[in-house]
Amino acid sequence: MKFFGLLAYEYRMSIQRRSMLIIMGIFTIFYGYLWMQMDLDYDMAFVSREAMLSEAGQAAFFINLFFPVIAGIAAADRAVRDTKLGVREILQATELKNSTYVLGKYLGVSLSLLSMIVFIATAVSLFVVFLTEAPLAFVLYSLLAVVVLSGPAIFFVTAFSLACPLVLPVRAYQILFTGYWYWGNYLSPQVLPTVSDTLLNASGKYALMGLFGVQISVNTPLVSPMDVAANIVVLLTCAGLALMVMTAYINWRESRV
Amino acid sequence: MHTWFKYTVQAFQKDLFWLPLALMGLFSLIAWMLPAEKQYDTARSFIGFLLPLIAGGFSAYAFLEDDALELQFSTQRPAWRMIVERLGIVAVVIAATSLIFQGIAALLGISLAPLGGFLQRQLVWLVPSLCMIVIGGVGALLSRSSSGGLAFIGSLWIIQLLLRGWFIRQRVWRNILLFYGVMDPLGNNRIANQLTLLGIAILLMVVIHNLLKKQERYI
Repeated sequence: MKFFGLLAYEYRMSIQRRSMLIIMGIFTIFYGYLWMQMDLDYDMAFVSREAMLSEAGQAAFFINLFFPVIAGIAAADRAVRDTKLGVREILQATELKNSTYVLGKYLGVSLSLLSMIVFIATAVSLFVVFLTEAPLAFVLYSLLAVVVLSGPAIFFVTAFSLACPLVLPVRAYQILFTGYWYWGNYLSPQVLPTVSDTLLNASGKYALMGLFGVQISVNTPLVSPMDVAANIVVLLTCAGLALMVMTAYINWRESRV
Repeated sequence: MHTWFKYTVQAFQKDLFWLPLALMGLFSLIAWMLPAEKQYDTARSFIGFLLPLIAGGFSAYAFLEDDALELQFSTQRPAWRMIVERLGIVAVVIAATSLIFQGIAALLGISLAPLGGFLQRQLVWLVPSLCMIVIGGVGALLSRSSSGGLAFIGSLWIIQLLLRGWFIRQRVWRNILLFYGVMDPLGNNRIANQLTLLGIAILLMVVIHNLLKKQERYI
């Protein structure tokens, strides 16, 4: 019961941050503008299920260029804030376990960010349907794409954004995280050593190629559905490990007081 | 003045000083380890692409994270002094980091001549960094949240970096591309780009000045 209370509270706190909603709105408008600039053959783009899947996948991949950055930055001050405002002391006075606290906070923040991205994807795809007379099914394909491409990314970045600022200053983490999002997901290994061509890539590249049939470039190796599953499992495992370390760190820190 | 400067330095967390140095050390190490043909790109990436992000990120936290903010506002000091102190210190750290890095690059034998002469080379990082410093400040004050300011800076940086090819092909949009100077350092369009970025920075500085006068928004 405490877990669901915590989750609901975190969800409300996170989704009501007006500043983040405005920033997401600004970049979503820019994203919509770019969509309209594309030389898309609308008659061909929505002619078949495969074509719609491909369009929906690319749209979600495009949202992933910037949305996880906002998500990671927004989540970074959530855990630190509790200590700063003295909420941790109040929570410690209850019988709330640290593992429940971490999991409730994590799921509350992650689900709120996921709701926002689902809202953005729905709004943009409805706009596309309205503008191009694409079938309404395109909205469903978009939702599927955003859950498969952006979902793992959100769960991955939120875990690290909650855990890392416990040992790093928040703003230093936020700057490093922004740099990481480019370095770890989009930078070519031929330029600098990077993890972007490994299963640690969180941009949704694997799902886009393996499930939505989009070939990013001619040099990119083919991706099978097994690779997509492995990519998602690796990201979620890393997120789980980060949360376990976070819980252990809070236990250790509070045992010293 | 001396006391205020000392206070401003102390009000900032120490990461303002160690993070740019740490990243500079990392990029110096990478440049040193890479083959000669890749060293220039690494050096260029640090001063032209990364420094503006660091500058904007720190400036987003320049105003609102001060525990004594209310006390600061209660004094009769003009808003422009607060702007100069808070954003000036970020600019000084970024400038020092860039100049030290260019010195290290020279020691490593990396020629930055493709970026132009000494003064021209400084514009490659100075103009986008100044612009990001001001945008970070405006973002934080408008959203009344340092994290909000940094989220704006982060999104702007990543969108411009990933879509730089698109920006550079658009006649209007390329003028606000932060990385135009480092991507086309000797091109004719760079002057229009740098003037536009400077113009935006000056305009937004006025916005910061006005926002800082509305002190009740931040208390």
